Amino acid sequence: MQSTDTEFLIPTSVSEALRNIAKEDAIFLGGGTSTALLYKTRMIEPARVVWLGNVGELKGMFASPTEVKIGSMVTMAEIAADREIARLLPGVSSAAGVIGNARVRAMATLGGALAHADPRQDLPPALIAVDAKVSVRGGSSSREINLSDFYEGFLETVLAPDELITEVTIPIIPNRHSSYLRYTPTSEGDYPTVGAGASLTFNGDGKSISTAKLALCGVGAVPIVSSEANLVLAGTTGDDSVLRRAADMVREAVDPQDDERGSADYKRDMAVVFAYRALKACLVS
Amino acid sequence: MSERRIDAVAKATGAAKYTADVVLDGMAHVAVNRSDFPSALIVKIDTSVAEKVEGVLGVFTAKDLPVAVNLYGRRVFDVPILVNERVRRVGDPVAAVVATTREIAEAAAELIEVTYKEMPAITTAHEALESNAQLIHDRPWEYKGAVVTPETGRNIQSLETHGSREAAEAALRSAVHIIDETYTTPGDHQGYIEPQACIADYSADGSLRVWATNKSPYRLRDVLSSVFGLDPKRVEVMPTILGGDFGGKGAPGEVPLCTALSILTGRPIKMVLRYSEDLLSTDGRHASEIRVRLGIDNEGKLVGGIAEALLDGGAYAGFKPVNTVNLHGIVDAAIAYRIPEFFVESKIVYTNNQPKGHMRAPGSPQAAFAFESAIDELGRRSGIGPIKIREINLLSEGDVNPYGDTWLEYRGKEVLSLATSQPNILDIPKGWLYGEGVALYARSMAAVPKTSLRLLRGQGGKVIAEVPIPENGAGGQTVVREMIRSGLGLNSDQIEVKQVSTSLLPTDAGVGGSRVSLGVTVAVADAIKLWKEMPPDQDAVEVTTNEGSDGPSGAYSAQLARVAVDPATGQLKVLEIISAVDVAEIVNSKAHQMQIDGGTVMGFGFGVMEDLLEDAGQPWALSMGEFKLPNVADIPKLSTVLLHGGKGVGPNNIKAVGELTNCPTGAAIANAVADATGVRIRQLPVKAEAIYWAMKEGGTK
Repeated sequence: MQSTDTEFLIPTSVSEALRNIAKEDAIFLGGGTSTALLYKTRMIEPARVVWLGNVGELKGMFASPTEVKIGSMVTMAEIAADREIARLLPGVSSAAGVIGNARVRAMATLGGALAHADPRQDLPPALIAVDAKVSVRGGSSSREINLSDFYEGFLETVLAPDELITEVTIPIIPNRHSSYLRYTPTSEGDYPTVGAGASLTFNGDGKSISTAKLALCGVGAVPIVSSEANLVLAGTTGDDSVLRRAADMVREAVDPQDDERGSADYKRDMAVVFAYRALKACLVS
Repeated sequence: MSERRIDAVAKATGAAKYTADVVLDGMAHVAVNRSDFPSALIVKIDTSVAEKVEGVLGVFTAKDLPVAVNLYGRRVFDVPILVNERVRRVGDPVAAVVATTREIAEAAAELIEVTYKEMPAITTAHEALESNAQLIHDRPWEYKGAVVTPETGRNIQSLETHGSREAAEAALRSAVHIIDETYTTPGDHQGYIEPQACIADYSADGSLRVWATNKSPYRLRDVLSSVFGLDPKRVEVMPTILGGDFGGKGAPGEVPLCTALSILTGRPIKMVLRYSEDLLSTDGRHASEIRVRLGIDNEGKLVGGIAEALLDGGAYAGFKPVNTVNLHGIVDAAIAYRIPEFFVESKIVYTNNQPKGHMRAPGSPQAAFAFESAIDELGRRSGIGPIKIREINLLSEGDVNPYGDTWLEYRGKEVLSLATSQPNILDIPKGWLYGEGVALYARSMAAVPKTSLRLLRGQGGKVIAEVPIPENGAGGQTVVREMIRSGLGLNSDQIEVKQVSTSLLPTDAGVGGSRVSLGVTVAVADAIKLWKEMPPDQDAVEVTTNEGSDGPSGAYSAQLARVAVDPATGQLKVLEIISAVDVAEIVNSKAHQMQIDGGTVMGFGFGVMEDLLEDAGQPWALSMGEFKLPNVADIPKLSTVLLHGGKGVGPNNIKAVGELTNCPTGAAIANAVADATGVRIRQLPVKAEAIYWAMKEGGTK
C-alpha cells in the first residue's frame, strides 16, 4: 500500500479543485464509499487525492416548479431525506434511500455514485428515467451531458480525467410519475440483482401516456435504457397487457453476466419482472 | 435473575483489549506471501527485492524455520508453517516478511517473486476419490496424529462409520416407503468480527509468551511446545479477550509462524490478518454432500436408514481437534430418532480447497439439513405428514437411541409440539405463497470437560476467581460469576473473574462443544465446597476437574420457519423463526437467550446466504461485501418458547444451549419453501433463483 505517500488535497472551491486535479496522477474523492473500495482492491493507486468535502458550491439542492438541481457533493442520505425530492421525484428519492446501508448513505455522494460507473448502482437508472442531465466542469470548459449518454463501459464514463461533475439537473414535467425498484434476493445490503427506474408522463387527459422511460441496472456493463418501452407505451393508457409487453422488450436490451447475484438467464427474467413492476408503480404513484 | 455480563461495559466503551491492541517493546510485524495456485510446485523464491525495502528486518522461507519438522496441527500435524516444495491451496503461506510496520511488511511481501510449476488441482470432493486422482499428500498416514492408513483409501483425511451397512440395507429393502435424496451445503466461514491475530515473544532463555485469538490456550501451548521442542512450562499463553469465535479460533493459526519468526529475529512478532486474508486462510465449515436413505413401514415407523456424507476437508486435516479427525455432528445425524437399523458414514477428503475445521456444532448444521429435509420429504410423500412422521419416530422414555445410549429423558416430541403450536400474527405479502416447515435437532451433553479454577481472597471481602478460559463472547466468565454469587451468597460487585495465563492454572479443554458452562459449574461447585471449609490463614483454593460424564442426556431444539415466496421471482422471505428450546435450570437468562437468538441468526445465514463461493480451488467471497452474512434488515422475527423442567447435568442441573439453534434452521427453511411452493431445494443456501427455476419446471414436495 502506498498510503503514506499519497498527497491529500483539500480545495475549498471548484476552480481550486480543478487546479488540483490537473496535477499528475490525481483523483477526486467525494464520500469515499466507492473510492475506498477501488483503493483497497488496488484498482487505483493515485499519488494525489483531491477531497471535495470542503467545496461548498457542490453541496446545494434546489427545487423549482420546472427543475430540481442537486449538487454533486450532496449525500444519498440528504437526497433520501428531502421532502421535495420525495414528492417530485419518488424514484430518485427511493433509489437514494436503498443504496448500501445507513453508514454508506451518510457518506456516499451523488457525483461519486455517477462517476464510479459500477453498473450495479441504483441511482443511474432512477435518474435516467427522469431525463437527468449532468453538469461537468473542466479546466477550460464546461458542458452538460444527458445521463443516458454518460456511460461508456464498466467503470467508464465520458468524463475526461480533469473534469468534475458539479451538479445534476432533473426537469420537472407535469403529469409525470416515476419509480425505482431494486431486487436484492439474498440480502438487503447487497448490490441489486437488477434495479429498474421508470417514468410515465401522461397527456392532459390524465389517462393516455405521452412518454415512457425505462432504465435498468445490474444487467449490463452500463445502465440499460429501453427505448422500446416508449414505442410500446406512448399513446396507450398503460393497460396491464401493454405494460407487460413493454417490460418484455427489455429481454433483448439487457446483457447480463452470470455471477453470485444470479445467472444471466435469471437476471434477464428478473429484468422483465422488475421493468413491469416499475412501470406499474408509475400508474399507482 | 440476570445481571450484566462481565465483558459488556469494556466492549461497549472500547476499553476491552484485544490481541490486536497489544503492543510490546521492539515488536515487529509480519506479512505473508501466499500462493495464488491451488496446486503447484515451488520452483524458485526470489526475496532479493523485498529484502532491500527500507524497514524490512528479514524475509524468511521454509528453509529458514527453526524446527525439526515443519508441520503443525490440532490433532494431525499436516499443516506446514511455511510451504517448502508444494503448495496445496490458494493462500498457502510461502514466504514471510518481518518489518518495522505492518504496511511495510505487506508492501514487501508483494515484491517476493515466486516461480511455480502448476500441477493438476483437485477442487471437488468427488474428484479426490477417483482412482487416478492426484495424491494431495503422498503419505498422509505418516503424519503425527494421523487416523488413516495406506488402506483407508485415496486422499482421505478421516473415515468414520457407525452401525451395519448390510443390516441397514436389508431393513430398507423391507420398507413400504423410501426416501433416497442427496443434500449439499457450501464451504462457510465463522464470520467473527475480530480477524485472527497473534503475537509471539520468544526470549533467548527458551521461554515463549503468546497472545493469540485462541480459545484453547492450553492446547495451543502444547502444540507450540511440541513443534518447537520447548518445555511446556516455559510456554505461556497470555489472557486475552476474543471478538467472536464460533469454533474458528481453536486452531493455532499463525502462532507457529510468528513463534518461528520471533526465534529467528529475537523480537516480538505480531500478525493481524486482514479480513480478506482471514476468509482465505483460516478454517471454516466443511462443504458437504450427504445422501440420506430412510424407510418406513406401513405404520410410518422408521425401519432403517443410511446417511453417507462426503465432506471437503481441503488441503489439510490439521484444523480438526478431535481424536477421530472427523465431525461428530455427521455421525450423530439420527440421534433424535428411533431407527432399528441405522448406518452412517462420514468421509472427509483432502482437496486443493481451503482447509476446513470446526464451526459451531461441527457437522451438525450439514447433517441436520440433510436428515431433517429427508424425513420431511418422506413425511410429505408418504402422506403421513411432516409433523406426524416425526411424532411417530422421535425417541421416547426408555428408548435406546441409534448409538446404543438411553438418555435420562427425550424431549423431542415436546419441543416439536411447542414449536408448531404458536400463534401466527404475520402479515403475508399479497400475492406471495406462504408455507411452514419444521426441523429438529438434539445433541448429547454427557461429557464433562477438564478444567481448573482458583478462588482467592481479595480486598474488602471480595472473591477473585481466576479462570483458564478466555471470554469468546458467549459469556462463560459471566457464568463463573453467577455460580459463585449464588454459591457464596455474594453480590456481583464482590466477585472479580479474570482469565490468567496458562502458567498460572493447570489445565483447560478450551472453549467449545457447548460444554463450558457444564465444566465451569463442576469446577465452581468443587471450589466453593473447599472455600467454605478453608481455614482463616489460607488465601486461596484451587481445583482441577478431570474429564468425566454425566447423564447420558441431551438437549433439544425444534424450529418452525414461516416463509413467503414471490411466485414471479422465487424471492424467499423468512418471516419468522420460532425456536422451541429444551431447558433445565438457566444460569443467566439474558446470556441464554442471546445464544438462542444468535444461533438462530447463524442458522438463518447458513440457510439462505452464506457461501465462500469456492470454485476451481479459489474462494471468491473474500470480503464482507461478497461473503454475505445476515444484516439487521435481513433477520426475520425471532420467537422463543422454552420447554422448562428438563433434567440437566452437573451440580447446577443445566442443559447445553450454545449449539442448539443454529443447526435445524436450514432444513426448517427448506421444508417451509417446499410447503409454500411444492418445490424441494436440496442445496444450501436456498436461493431465490433455485426456487424460481424449480417452480418453472414444476417440482414435487
